[in-house]
Amino acid sequence: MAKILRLHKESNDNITDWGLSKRYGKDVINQITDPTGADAKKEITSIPSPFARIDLAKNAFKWVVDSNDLEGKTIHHKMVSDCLDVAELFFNYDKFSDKLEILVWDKDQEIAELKKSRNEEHRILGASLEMYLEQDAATYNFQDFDRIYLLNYIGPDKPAQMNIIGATSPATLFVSSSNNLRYSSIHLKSNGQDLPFDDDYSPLYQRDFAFQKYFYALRASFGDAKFAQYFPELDAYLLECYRHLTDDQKKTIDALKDDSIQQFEELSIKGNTVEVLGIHLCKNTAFVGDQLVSDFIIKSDKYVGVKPLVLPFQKGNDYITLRYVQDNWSKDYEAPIYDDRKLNERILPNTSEKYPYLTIGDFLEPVIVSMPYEMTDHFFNGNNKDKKTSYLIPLTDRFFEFFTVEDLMGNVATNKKMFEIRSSINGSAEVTLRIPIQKNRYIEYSRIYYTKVEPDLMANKGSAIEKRFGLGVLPLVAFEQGLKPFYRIAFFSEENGSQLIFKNSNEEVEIKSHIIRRNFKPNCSIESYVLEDRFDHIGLDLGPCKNYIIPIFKTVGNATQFTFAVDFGTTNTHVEYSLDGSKNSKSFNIGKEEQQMQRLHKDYGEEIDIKSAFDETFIPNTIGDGDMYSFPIRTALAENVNIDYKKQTNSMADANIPFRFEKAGLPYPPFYKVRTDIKWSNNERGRVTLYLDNLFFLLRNKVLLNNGDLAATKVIWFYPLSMTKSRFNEFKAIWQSLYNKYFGDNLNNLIVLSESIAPYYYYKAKKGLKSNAITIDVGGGTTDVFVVDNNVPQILTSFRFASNSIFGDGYNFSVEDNGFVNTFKDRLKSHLESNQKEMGVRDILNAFESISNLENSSDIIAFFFSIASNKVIQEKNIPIDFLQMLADEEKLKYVFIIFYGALLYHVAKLMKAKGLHMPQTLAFSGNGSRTLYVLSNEKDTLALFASLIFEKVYGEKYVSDKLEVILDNEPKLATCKGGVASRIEDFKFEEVDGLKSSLLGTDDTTFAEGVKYKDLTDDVLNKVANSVAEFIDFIFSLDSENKNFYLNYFNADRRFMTKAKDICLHGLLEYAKQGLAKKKEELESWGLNEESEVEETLFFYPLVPILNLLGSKL
Amino acid sequence: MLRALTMLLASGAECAFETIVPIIIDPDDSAADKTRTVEAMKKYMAIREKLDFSNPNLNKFYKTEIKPVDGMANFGFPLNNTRDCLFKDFIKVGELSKESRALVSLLFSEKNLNSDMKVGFKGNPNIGSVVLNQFGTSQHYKDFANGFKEGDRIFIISSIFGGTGASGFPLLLKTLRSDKSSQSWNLISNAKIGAVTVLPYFQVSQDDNSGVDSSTFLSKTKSALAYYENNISKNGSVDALYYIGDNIPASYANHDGGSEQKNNAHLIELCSALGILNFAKMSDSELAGDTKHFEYGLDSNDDAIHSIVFSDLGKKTKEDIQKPLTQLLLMHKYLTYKLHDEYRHQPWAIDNGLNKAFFDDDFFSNVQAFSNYYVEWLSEMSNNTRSFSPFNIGRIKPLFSLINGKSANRPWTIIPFLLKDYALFDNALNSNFKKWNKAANKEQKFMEVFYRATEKLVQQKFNM
Repeated sequence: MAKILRLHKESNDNITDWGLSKRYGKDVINQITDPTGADAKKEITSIPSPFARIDLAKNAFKWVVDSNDLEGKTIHHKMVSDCLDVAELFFNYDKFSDKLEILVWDKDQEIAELKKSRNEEHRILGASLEMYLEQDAATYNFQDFDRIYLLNYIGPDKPAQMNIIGATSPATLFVSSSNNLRYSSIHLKSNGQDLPFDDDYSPLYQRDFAFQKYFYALRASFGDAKFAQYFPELDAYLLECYRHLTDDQKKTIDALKDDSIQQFEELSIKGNTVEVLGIHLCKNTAFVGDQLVSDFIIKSDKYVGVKPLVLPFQKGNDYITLRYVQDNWSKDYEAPIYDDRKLNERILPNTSEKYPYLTIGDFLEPVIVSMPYEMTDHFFNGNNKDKKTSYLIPLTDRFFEFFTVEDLMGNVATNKKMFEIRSSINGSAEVTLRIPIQKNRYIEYSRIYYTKVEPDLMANKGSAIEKRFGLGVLPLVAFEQGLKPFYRIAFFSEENGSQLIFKNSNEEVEIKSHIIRRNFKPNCSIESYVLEDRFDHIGLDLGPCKNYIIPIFKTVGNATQFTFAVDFGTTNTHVEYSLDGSKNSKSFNIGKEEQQMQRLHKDYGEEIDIKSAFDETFIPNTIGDGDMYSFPIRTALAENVNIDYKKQTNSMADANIPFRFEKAGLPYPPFYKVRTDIKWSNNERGRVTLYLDNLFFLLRNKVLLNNGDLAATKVIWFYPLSMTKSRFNEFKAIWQSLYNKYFGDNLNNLIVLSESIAPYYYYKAKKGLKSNAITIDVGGGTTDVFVVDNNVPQILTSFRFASNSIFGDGYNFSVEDNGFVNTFKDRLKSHLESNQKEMGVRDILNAFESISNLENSSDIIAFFFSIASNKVIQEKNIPIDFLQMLADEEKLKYVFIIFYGALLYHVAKLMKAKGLHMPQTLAFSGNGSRTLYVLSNEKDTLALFASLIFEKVYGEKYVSDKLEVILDNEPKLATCKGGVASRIEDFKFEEVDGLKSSLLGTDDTTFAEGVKYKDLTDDVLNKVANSVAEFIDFIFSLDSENKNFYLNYFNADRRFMTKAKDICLHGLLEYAKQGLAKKKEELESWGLNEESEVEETLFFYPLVPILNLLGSKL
Repeated sequence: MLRALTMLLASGAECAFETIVPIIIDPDDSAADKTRTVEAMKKYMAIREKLDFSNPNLNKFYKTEIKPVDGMANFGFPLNNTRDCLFKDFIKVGELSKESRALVSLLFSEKNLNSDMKVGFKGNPNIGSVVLNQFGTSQHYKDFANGFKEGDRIFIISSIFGGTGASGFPLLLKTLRSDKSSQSWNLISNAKIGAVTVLPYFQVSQDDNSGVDSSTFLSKTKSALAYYENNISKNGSVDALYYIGDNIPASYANHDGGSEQKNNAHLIELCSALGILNFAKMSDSELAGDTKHFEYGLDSNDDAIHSIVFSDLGKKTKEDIQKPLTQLLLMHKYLTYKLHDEYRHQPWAIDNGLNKAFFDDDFFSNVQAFSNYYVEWLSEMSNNTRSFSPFNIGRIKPLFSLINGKSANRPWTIIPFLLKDYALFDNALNSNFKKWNKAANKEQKFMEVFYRATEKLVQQKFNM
């Protein structure tokens, strides 16, 4: 044996001196122990060829295979890993096409170019390349390749203008650069593996299986035997990797045929397929653009952009037939329950692919809000079958990025509900959410929310907390494009710090106004949200948690044409409506099917304050005949105490119509003050507007909820004749602006009629008026008279002598002195008190208490009147009827004799002065005219009384045609009904004004026309007093001239007749002066002065206090 | 290794070819090893110039002619544009087409592209494989080719783990086999070409800033061997390939190159040089067919043998070099320790006219200088790992204990003082001086005297 000077050890050689040996082949090379080999880190640089890199890659594969360790850390493992990275980048080229560029080096062309270069060094380079390509051809398949395709990195952090990171190789298919390529790692993250070119080397079998499959398919496409011949090292590597595959994976690889590569799309550059020795490289079909192709892709029509995957968080085989990333989901896979990374920073579980995915924690909130009330059908109850407890929807905002509320309420595939809540006896609730994915499948997420525990995100444990609050949406209508939405959301919360947010799709909707009318302690808060944009879900934000409320909006049509007539009266307001041009109308109502404010819950159980807050501060559920609330309504507005009319105000937020006024629920909430006397109140144009705005809002909602056509809606409104032109114009502007706001810009649909004329049309159409007819509308503040002679309108006259003149406080009298109040207050009260065990009567008594403390007798009397029509009183048949009590009070008959006597006397005088025939029909309307029943409930008796007055004034007798009196049971409605029935839709203020006529009140012939307030001297007033005195004599003499008519027909107490007459004749001049003073005060508040023309007779000035005195002194 | 060859030739080791034409391809002009090798060869040439090897002369010292390619200074093949030049500047990357630039970026690392080639390719033979390719198109190559005659052979010496040599060998081989630019291309491409590829036998101390890292020597070697196997051996482009290396590595200071790169002479180099002589000796028929591969074996069973003497060498080697090297060393010792005391008195000098003027002249100083190189070379090998120390080179008594592990024959005479050590040397010198060509010049006479004397002495004392 000899010591041979060599590195390897071989025992059987016996060479001395220079002796023939054998070639250093694989065996010898393998026997050379490299002490650093197992962890060699440095790039190997010893290959004496410009194509060293290609050789190194080739040998690296061999080295790794020979080492029997595919997962080593040597430089060879690195080179293999890098080559595979390059292969994968080619495979994923589409995904990185903004970061990678493929350059093509054409062997013949480029070498030829180099060799003819004017640079000697280029020629040297060309010659070198050519020489090695020729002489080393057999080893590297150089003879068989035409082009090398190079990957140039052009993405972020690139260190140089050109950054070749790898290329195709005729020896190993792919080759990497030896440079440090870490700069590109994070930008070139591929599918199913970690960062390319990093220090964590990945053998092929640990890479995304689709990529592996592709690699084996490439081999198959070339022919396995041929591949082994051309790429022996790579082939050996593939075989070695194959051994590490699972049986299933092996099966997949075994099934590959030479055409299996066709399942991938060829990678081509400028029309040329990228190839190596004719092996066509392909693209990863896992991506289309940035979009991963996976069965787990969320099925969302709504979401625009790269759609994330939705992944199950529990292991199991439910989804193993679905393609995950290139490969199917495995039964061992699971997504985390919660992932706090941003979507685009997430790594798909069980891969190292950075791609957005969603898991249960993205969709379900940690907390669910439960409420001990039953939900109405107008809100989505989460398909919860338990009625006693209801829940809000514990979904995240993220859910709504992908799905609409319609999706949420609907089904996913196989007719499964998308969302379900199941409550269990111990108060916990299980929420199931099914997120649709591809292939008609869905991912089912379930979470149990436990009571009295903190949520545990990581354990998928939620927490259920009970909250008490009320909520309503008005109107629950889905507004179509072009229709301006006006929403009010009522919110009554017993939780501190709770607030609502509104979202449309996933956009937060601007809240126009949020009025907190009352803070939440000790009762519920009262809050109103004003929205003028569409929304589709409401978030209840409780600070630490947020749940959603999903209203089920009604879609509406526009088939029906509505006509509304609005009689905005001093005391009462009435609205009639008819459909599609019908002359028949009915009182405005809100039926069960057209509830305007849809509440979240059916009832609020113990939370009475929530229940009453709806009625008190918004609107009752229903309004109409037989309901607690019905039209006509008391003209009243409940304002917030801190309302500021200088700012924008909103109905049902800053103020609302207090339907419960005069009905119940007192004391009134301290935050609100009920205003009456709106119509004639001084200065407050804003208040009138806001009151009417509240009305309009109701009208509009009614139209919407009944498939009405907003733009075709007609609104008829009325004005009293005594209204001055300027005030009329001001009103008109208000009506127009409101019509504009709520119905549109076709102002032809806004019709204005005189209050005086409207009833005529009603009676004419419905009651058959004769040709000579008078309609007298007795309101709260004014009486309007319309005279038709031979069917021709002749006179319109109006005066501030109406029911407030009877029941009010004269000019300056106090409530304490009001006879009616004093006489009946206690009586009514004790009546009620004796019935207070009846349900609801307590409410009325409460109302009584507060109203009787008001400083206005008219309001108190209006309340007295309203008791009889109160639903409770009617349903329980409690015999309380203020009108009847009045009728039974015989001494007070004189008040009504004087009132109606004066009224008819004055009308008769006026007609006579105009030379008109005596009337054949006398039709009364207006709420005030109900007091005619105090005189008699026989129309003939009333007709007789009237005819006596006319006969005496005219000095002639009714011969054949007797005077007929028409009086409706609901005389208030005549105006509105007449408005709806009227055929003259354009009775202009000017035309009506032309019929206007007033006697000044001084004598039988002097008219008010042309007289100005400054002309009203004491002399004039004296004449007025005298003429009133004349009337007093007239009216009292009528009794004696007609066989004690008042006693016999009206049951007037005769004992008080003389006293009554005395009262009537006392202080007439003084009262005339007071009346004028009061009038001037009012004029000033409307910006008028003494230059204004007198628009009504002065005749009634003295009579107003006289009626008051009669009431109190008799 | 060229230094070893020069020493062997100077000692008269047998070379089958009359002339050796060394060409050094190394951009590192300043490498100290290269410098002293060139210096030695120049002295060799200067000495040999005065000598005549025709009959009846017997002298074999400096027998084989060493000469450069015509016009080639310092035996070096000059490389253009490598001085102070980065590789990327050399190939003018910026002026390449985008596609070629891309290919260059793939094939060459940033480190490759930014490497300064002044001191070679620092273990990056892939750069060398391009840069050195200017060889084929140069005038020097043409000169070389034109001087090439039928029967001439080429031998390429390189290390496999370095830069310049590692790349130069395959490149040179490919060029020689493929270049058709010269008239004699056919002769060259069909010439017998041998090569020694030196595998690692030393390591350098670790220096992280250095381009040379011996921890990768073996990795590099293995990769390169595989390359050679596939691209040199398999295709038969070389006729004889000599592998040599050692797994007990010597340790050298880490120098990328330059004047500091001065490594001690090593047995491996000597053996490699012997490979040349071996190749030269083989007949064409022996070299026909597939590439012949050779390895070098010592005659020792000790794998860890540390200090090697002649008896550890193979028989043939011993035969080839023991005698000449001993002769040259004896001459050195005499010149060093004895000559200046003796030449005025000794007949071999007086009678041949080798007077003071001769010993003061250039020739002798060259001989003496070369002789010192020789001893230096021996000394270095002796001090290296593995140590080759066949001689006791110091000023020793007795003189003939100079061969380690080999005792000299006892004197047969009864007058021992006359026949021992330098006395015996003088005796040998004087016994021979009259027997040869009187017309020869002094230089020839001088060399002849010493050759014959030393030959007689080694025969007498060591039976060589």
